[in-house]
Amino acid sequence: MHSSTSSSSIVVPPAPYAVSWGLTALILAGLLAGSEVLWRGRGFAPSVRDSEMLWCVHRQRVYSEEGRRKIVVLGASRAQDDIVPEALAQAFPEYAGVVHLAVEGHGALPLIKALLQDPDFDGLVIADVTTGLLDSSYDKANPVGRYEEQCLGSLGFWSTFNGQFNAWTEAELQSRIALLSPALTLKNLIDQRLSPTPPYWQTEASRYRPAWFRSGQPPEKLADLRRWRIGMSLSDDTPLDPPDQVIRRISEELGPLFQSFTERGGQVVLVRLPSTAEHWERDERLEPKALYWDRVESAVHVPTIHFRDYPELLGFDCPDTSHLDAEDAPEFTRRLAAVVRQRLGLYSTMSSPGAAVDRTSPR
Amino acid sequence: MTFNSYSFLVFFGLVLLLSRVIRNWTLNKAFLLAVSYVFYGAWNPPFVLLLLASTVIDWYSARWIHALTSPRARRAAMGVSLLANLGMLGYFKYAGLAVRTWCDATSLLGFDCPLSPPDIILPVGISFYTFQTLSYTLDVYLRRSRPWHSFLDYALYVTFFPQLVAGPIVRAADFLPQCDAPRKGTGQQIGWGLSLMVIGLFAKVVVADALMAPVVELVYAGSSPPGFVNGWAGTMAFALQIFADFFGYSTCAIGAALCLGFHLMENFRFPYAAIGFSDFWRRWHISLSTWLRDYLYIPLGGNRGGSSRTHLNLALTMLIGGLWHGASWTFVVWGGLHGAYLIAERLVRGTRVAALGLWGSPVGRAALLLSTFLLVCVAWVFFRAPDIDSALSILGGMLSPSQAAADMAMLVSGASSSDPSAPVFLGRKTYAIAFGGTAAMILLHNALKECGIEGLAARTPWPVRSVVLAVLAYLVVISMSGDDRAFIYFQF
Repeated sequence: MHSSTSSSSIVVPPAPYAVSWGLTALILAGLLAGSEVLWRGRGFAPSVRDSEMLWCVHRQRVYSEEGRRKIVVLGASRAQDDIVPEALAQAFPEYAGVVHLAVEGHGALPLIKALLQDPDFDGLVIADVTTGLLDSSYDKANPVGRYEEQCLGSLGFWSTFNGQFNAWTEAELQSRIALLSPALTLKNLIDQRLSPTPPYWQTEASRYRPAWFRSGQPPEKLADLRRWRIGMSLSDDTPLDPPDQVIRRISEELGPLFQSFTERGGQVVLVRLPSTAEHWERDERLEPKALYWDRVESAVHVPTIHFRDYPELLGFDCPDTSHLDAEDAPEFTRRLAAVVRQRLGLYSTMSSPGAAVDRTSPR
Repeated sequence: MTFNSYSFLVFFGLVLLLSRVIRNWTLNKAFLLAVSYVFYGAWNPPFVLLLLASTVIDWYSARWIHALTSPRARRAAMGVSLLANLGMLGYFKYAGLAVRTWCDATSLLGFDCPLSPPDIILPVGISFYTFQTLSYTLDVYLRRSRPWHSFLDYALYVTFFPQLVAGPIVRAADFLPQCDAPRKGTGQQIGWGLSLMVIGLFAKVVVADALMAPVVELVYAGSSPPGFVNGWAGTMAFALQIFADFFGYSTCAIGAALCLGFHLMENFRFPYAAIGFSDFWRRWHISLSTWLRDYLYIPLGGNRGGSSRTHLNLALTMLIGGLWHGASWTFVVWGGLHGAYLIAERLVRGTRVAALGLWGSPVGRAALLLSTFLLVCVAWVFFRAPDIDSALSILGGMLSPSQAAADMAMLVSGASSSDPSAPVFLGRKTYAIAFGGTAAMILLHNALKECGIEGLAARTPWPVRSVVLAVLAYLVVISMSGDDRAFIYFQF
């Protein structure tokens, strides 16, 4: 046969490859172990890269198992930081577990709609929202709808099986090995001149993201972060449309969806998680609770829980004005779970006090 | 499935193990074929059918062509095969470009375009496997070879997973004879194959993705023209990124195949050490450049019809080669530029300047090498930029002497100008990565251009090689958790 002129034969450089690869493996193991010890000594803890595919791995787990339903947490960074899946699961032993589908930086509305339209899903949705985030006219550019689209695709699970396997494997490794943390990639090491600072937050394989505001960083950094967060929130000063318009739109868009979902056995609870200080003042100025939030429940006919309405949910400090400290999140989650149970008319459970899920800072 | 993924690690480990356990050679080939379909299907399962269709079409086309005796009938049969192959490629890859171009043309004439670009998913690797199956049919048509006797061997040739989605574009004559006798990677082959895979992953994950891609994105995704220094920094970083990315893939492919006992052709021979453009194309994407030479340039007449005809053939070959890369006119311009370089080189070679001894001196050769590299970079601007306008804007800054003086002042002062329209100072680290990386890459290519990686490895004591491989593997491990970046050539 005619052959291309380039030779296809490869000259293999001779070597005792078994011994050579044995030595390579030993050195590599030494480098990895040494780095792990070094970075842990400098305060780095295992942390997972929160990718779309990791989200997808969790999205596939929302369905009931052996007749027991799942709890799905939706929302943005507040839900991701404040709601501890293990604490929630302990408070709802009759459910088959908790799936964290909150996505940082984006409102949950597109995902609420997509999940509730999934005919195979009939679990309990706990969605962290504000009134504005329930109105799609304020949320048109929200890209999280893409998550659902890319995850399920035209062929469902199999179209993303490979990506999910990679994301799952990566998450399992990263949740155990600090060296593999996204904060310690070569790119970050170069960016920070080989002297990176440990982040004050971690992401767990469950996608819960404990934020150690108080113990994970020096006070002056926390003060900077707080100033930045307040500046960010104040920079958005667009008030909502008049309450009647907003509530009507929410009712028209979500009312029928919630109704059909609850009719087939699903449950939805809308929650407003805490913000404090200037952040709360700004929220209250732009969308006063009494005019907006307090009318949502009667518009969509599912329970709503606002942290200001329940004394047990008050009194938690948000160090950056918008998110709870990881030290407080388990207790807050337990209290929130009790309120959710009460609002859903579920009898209280004799769950353990929850010490098992309390966290301590990795540093 | 990509080589830089956990799923490939598991997949390859299992394949390597099981292929050694299966003793029957036919069964072993069937196993390799099956796992190759799994490898391809992991990206998008339905497109396995397209791959299968392409395989079957060319298998029967070749047999049909071989059975025909009349030149006219053979030509017609070859035409059918070309139509089927290029039809699939055209539909999936170029339909959008055709519609966009048609609409641009009609709007220029003042008409509304009734069409909208179709929403078609490009099957990964279609350009590679189409060229591969075409080469088989064309070889039979040109009577360079006879149809192969085993469909299983042929299907494995088209589908063999190491080279399936991004090459090297393997020739049937190189691969099919390897299917005749049972083969398993020897200890030496597996040892070296794994070494090549680590080197390939280092090039891709560390050099291309962790070091160069962020610099390229800073420059090419910016909202304003980058100017002289930033333009060159971004473009040189891209020259390194695309080399490391594609060399990384090819090296992994060659290494993975070698572990299974198969030899794939070399695809890169340190191209940034090239002196002149003929030399560059003997070193860059060798499997494509030889394909274009054998199935396009030579059938067009090659250099047999006088200099004008040769130049026309060169230009056509490079324009089509450019279009092969992607459905955008930027790739055509890239190909056109390389065609122009090759023609200019032929013209210069015919003058008295070429006979001057100057070019034989180390300084002269260094000047030619640098000129070649810089002109290659100019062409890369069109390859990387999202459209012609952006490319021209970036190139305008890179070639502007006045911009150069202002930017040099910025570089020396180490800060951005107060003028908001002036380019932004990207930081010493960024410039060090781009320019330092370029200098290191050119020196490395020069050092290895004659001996290659194999030669360097052969004269390096094995304990040193072990240490180097461990360090490279370590850097790969700590770079793996960054952003997901597919191999650039997957989109072609």
